[in-house]
Amino acid sequence: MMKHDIRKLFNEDDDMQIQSLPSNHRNEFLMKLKSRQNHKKQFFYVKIAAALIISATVSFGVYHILPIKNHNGNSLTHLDSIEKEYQNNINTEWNNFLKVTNDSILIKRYEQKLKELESDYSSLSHDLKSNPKNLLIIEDLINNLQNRLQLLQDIQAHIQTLNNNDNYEITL
Amino acid sequence: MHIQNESLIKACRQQNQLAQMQVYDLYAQSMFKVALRYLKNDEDAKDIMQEGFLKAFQKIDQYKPDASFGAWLKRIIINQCFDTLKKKQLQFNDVDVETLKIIDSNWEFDVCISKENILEAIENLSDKHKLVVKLYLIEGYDHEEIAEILEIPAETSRTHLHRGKLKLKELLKSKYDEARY
Repeated sequence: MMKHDIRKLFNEDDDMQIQSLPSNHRNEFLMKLKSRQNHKKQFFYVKIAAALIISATVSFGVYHILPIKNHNGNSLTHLDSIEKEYQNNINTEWNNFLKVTNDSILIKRYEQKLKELESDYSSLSHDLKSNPKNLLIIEDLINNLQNRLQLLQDIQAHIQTLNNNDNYEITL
Repeated sequence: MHIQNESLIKACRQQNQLAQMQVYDLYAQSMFKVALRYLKNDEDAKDIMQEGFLKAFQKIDQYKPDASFGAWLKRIIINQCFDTLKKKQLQFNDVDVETLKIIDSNWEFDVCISKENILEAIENLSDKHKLVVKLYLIEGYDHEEIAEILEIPAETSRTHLHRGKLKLKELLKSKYDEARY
């Protein structure tokens, strides 16, 4: 029986078989690309905004939250109200997001992202209970809320851009 | 497959979105095929491929024109695939690694065995053997590269490849015998 080196078979790129990509893959990629780039641009401003919010919250925390905690050991009511406010905004943005897309895969993905952030949030809250004076944890908590809001605002902005450029053809 | 157009890569270096989309259009099909060899689900393969493209554009400054752009990109996509597989807990124990000193380069198979037969048989190998055989035979990586991709010692890669090949011969032999009688 004749033999041959099968490695040679794979050296030749004669494989013409085409596996078709899921439809809409191109638009999806364009969206990811834009999201990545916009993110970079926005990052600088988001950082400034976040820094302002954090410093405001932290000083707020130092002067208002912690003394309450120290005096009567009650829950951090002021932080609670900040959380509530953010949560309302997040819910609103989530509903807005659902209005502008019916891509179930996308929705599921964002649901998952938010869930992960939420579970981070609960473990941070837990940490704060055992360590109520730790400002870094408060910072992380606020960051977490801010991230969730940002995530939803970003995706909506990108959907908006895509819709505006519906018949947009890429040419170099 | 080869981009002759250096200006396209140059534009990608400047994060020009149109150029990036053009590169995507050029390579998406073939890179999707690569990803599908490791991830059996179309959606997963597409996501991993797209993540790979984003990563490639992000670190395009590391691309050196002495290699083909396609090969550079493919390596990023493959790494991305294996990062995902590793998350699904792919374990390469090197407990049972033989110290294989022989340089095993005999890949002589019967000529009547076609490429399709081989590809089919590879799918029937155990996971570890399958991955190493694919990286070696289909992707054309050497043991150093396979070791890097799988984050295992080159010896482990060699052992798995050797055993994978024996198993592959065995599978193809029974298939061939079946056909003959």
